[in-house]
Parts: sequence; structure tokens; C-alpha cells
Amino acid sequence: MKILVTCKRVPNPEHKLKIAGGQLDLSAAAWQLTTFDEYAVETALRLTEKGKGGERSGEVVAVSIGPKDVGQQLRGVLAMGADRAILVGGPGTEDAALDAIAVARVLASVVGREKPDLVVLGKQTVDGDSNQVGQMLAGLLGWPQATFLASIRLGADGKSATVTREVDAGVEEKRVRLPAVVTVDLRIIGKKAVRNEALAGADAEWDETQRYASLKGIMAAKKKPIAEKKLTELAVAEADPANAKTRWRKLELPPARQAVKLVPADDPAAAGKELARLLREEAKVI
Amino acid sequence: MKFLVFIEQRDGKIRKASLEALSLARKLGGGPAAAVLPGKGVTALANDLGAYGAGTVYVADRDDLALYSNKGYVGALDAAATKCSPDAVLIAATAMGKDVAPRFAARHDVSVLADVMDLRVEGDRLVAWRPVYSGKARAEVDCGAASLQIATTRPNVFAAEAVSGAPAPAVETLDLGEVAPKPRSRRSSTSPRRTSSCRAAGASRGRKTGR
Repeated sequence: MKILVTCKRVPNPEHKLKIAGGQLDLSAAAWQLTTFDEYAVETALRLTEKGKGGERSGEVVAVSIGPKDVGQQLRGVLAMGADRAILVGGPGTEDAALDAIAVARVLASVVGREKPDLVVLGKQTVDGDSNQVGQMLAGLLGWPQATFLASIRLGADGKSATVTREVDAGVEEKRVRLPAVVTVDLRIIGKKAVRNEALAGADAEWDETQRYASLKGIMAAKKKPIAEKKLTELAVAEADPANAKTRWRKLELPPARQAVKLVPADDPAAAGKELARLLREEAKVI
Repeated sequence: MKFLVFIEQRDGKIRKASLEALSLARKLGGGPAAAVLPGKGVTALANDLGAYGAGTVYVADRDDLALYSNKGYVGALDAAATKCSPDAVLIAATAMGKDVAPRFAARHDVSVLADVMDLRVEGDRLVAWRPVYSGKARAEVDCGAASLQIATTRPNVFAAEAVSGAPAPAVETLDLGEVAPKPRSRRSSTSPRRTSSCRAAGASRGRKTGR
């Protein structure tokens, strides 16, 4: 089984954002893989190994779009266990030119060349938070899609997968034919959320976290290839910022929260009345 | 500006988030908007949409749309868009809306203003504020060069305003042909989850992750 997994780098989500003149200052950003994409990598690895730490079968290919130093994050993914990586860079891959549909077009071209059985993406990245690329990629390819996965079980014949999806009413179960595009949510890294019984048996379970690169993995990753591609090589037109279908005009910090109003509770009955009055007359929520 | 709004229903009840999107479309468009309502046994619900701003409701009422399927529901939305050629499409940013909107957008070679918290019209462009970086910042975004403008609206942000005495909408049935597949998904019951503003802590490293 061949799995293509997307890897986007984002500024460390725990760091404060520096915004100047309506733009984000990323000059000192500490880059890392976005969490949902880490989960996507973990999902792909679990689908191709004989239980935790077991032998691998099949191929996991990581793909990213961006400048050369994204190679650092891709090297980390190779150290986790992915087999090889593709980095799409060069003219037309700047952030301003690449909105969701442009990214989906690049990925569709990569999928057309790699012909994977499954594409796994994080459901969204923690920078743009737009939650679109997986669905668009499936649309461009005309493949079945399953978004927000809480679990995935490969069919014994390798031609379909049964998944559960996180939806508003609870969890929805469905079957998708392969090849398909799936996007993963938080619960996908549960102990038994990823099942490939034909390969790993029914009892296989993993740690409830994505794996860290081992020293052996880091050494092995140095020898794994990262193929650098330009848009022209992928036969994708260079995206033009003037032609982007969505544009970021400016960025700002959210408005500060209003001060909290404390109701003194010396007299519980009066405090209750006052609280009810405030909720009704000022906050207008009851 | 002509709006088309995707209406989501669950268990025979229109979801409030869709009514919010419909009210917003009426406000921004300065008059009744078109709506599309896919599902099974949903025709009877179409009249209720008039009060919230629907002038025309395109109904796709079929057995094979009883359960949500991306192909069937996006097919219904696309069929309605073909009929009314809207300038803009609004969809509530629910789990279903987030599954539907980008796939529909890909058919039209455009992107989506996702999960917007504020939406306005400038000239012929939709302009929105939306949360980014897990809510640590907000971005002002527009639809750039998109021919068809699409936005998903965050639930519980916009008001669902019913106007009494609004005329009943014109109801048109969509002929989807064979686009909808047989339903294969089933909904297993668990407790309802919050639709919006719901943020879960990153599972393993205590990271905040945007939801």
C-alpha cells in the first residue's frame, strides 16, 4: 500500500504572534510541523507496519510545499519512519500566491504522478485554520473523501476502508472505496484507532501519541531522499497572487476581552437576583 | 448581489446555523435569497424558510439523501447553483458545511472564506474577518479574483432573524438524476457535541490546536 501524506510547517503555536502593520512577522519564527499533519504521518505509518515498532510494508511518501528549509521538517518526518519526501518549491509557491485551491492543484498533480492508494492530510493547519485542502483535492481528483477521521480500518482486500468521522451529532461511520482522500482529527492517534488487520492482526495497538524520532530513525533519515520539484516540473501553472481566489488583506490581534464583573455573594439571595438581572438586562443571555 | 444558501437539516429539523446564514444572505443581498435544501422528507420544511429570507427554495427530496453523503449533497448544491447562477454562496460552518463547501468550491475553481465571524459586501466582493492561528489572531480576507464567492459562516455568531408576514418562498424541485449514491453511512449515537467555538487541547503535548 502506498500512502501520500501532507506535511505543512507552521510557526510554533505556543509562541506569541508578532504582528506589525497588519502583517505577521515570521522572521524569528520557530517552525514545526502542524499537529494534525503529524497525526496524518502517524496514521500513515500505522497503516503500513506490523504493529507497534513492527516491520514496515508499503510506502509512505511525505509531500510539502514551501522554501528549501522546509526540508528540515521533512527530514523529521523521514526520521519518524516515512520512506521518502517531495518538496515543491520555487517561483509561484510563496504563501501569498497559494490559497487553498492552488495548494490542492499542486497536490493533485503530485497525486497524479505518485498514484498512491490513499492520501492522508491533517484536517486543518494551525495557521490558516481553513480546513479545505483535503476536500478540494478529493474534488479535483474525483476521489471519495472522508474528513475529520476518528478512526480508520483498512478492508482485508485493501480496496476499501471503514472510517468513523467526527461530526456535530456524534460519530458517523462510513465506507470509502480506495483510492481516497482522508483528513484526520485528534482521536486518530488513539491506541486502536488505526487498524490494518491483514498486516498487523486484530490485537495491534499503539501508544496514544504520535511517535518521536528515534536516534536510529534520525540516522536512517539522512540517507532517505527528498525530491525537490518546481511547479513547472509538475505541469502546474505558477499561482499569481493577483489571481488568488482568497486573499489575506491584514491581520490583527483579536479584541481584548472585557473585564469580568464580580457579584458579591455576602447575601446569597440578593446575589442570585443581581446575577439574574445582569444576565438578563446587560448580557441579554436569558 | 445574488446569494444562494445551503440549508442543513437533521432529523427533520432545519439547523439554526443554516437559518443564521440565510438571514445574513438576506441582509447582505438586500432582499430574498435562494436556498437549497437536500434530504429525505424535507419538502414540508421549505415553507418555513420564507421567514428567514428565502425567496426560492430548491428542494432535493430523495430517499438516497436520507443520510448525508458528500456526493449527493454537493450535487444538490451544484444543481441549485446551475439553476440560479448566484454571485455568492453561504454555508454554515458545521461539520457538514465544512465537508461540503470546499468540494463544491473545487468544482468552480475557487476557494472558500472559511468559518467567518463577520461578513460584508464591498462593491461586488465579499470581505470577511475570520479567526486564524487557532484564534490567536484574526485576518481580514476577501474573495480575490474568484468568479463565484463562497463563505462558511461560524455558527452562533450571526443572528437568525425571522420576519413575520414574509411571503412563502417559491419551491422548486431539483432533478438530480443519478448523482446521489446509495446511502452507506450510518450515524451511531453518541452525545451531541458543540458545533462552534469548541476548542480541544492538543492530545499529547498539551498544545492548543485550532478546531
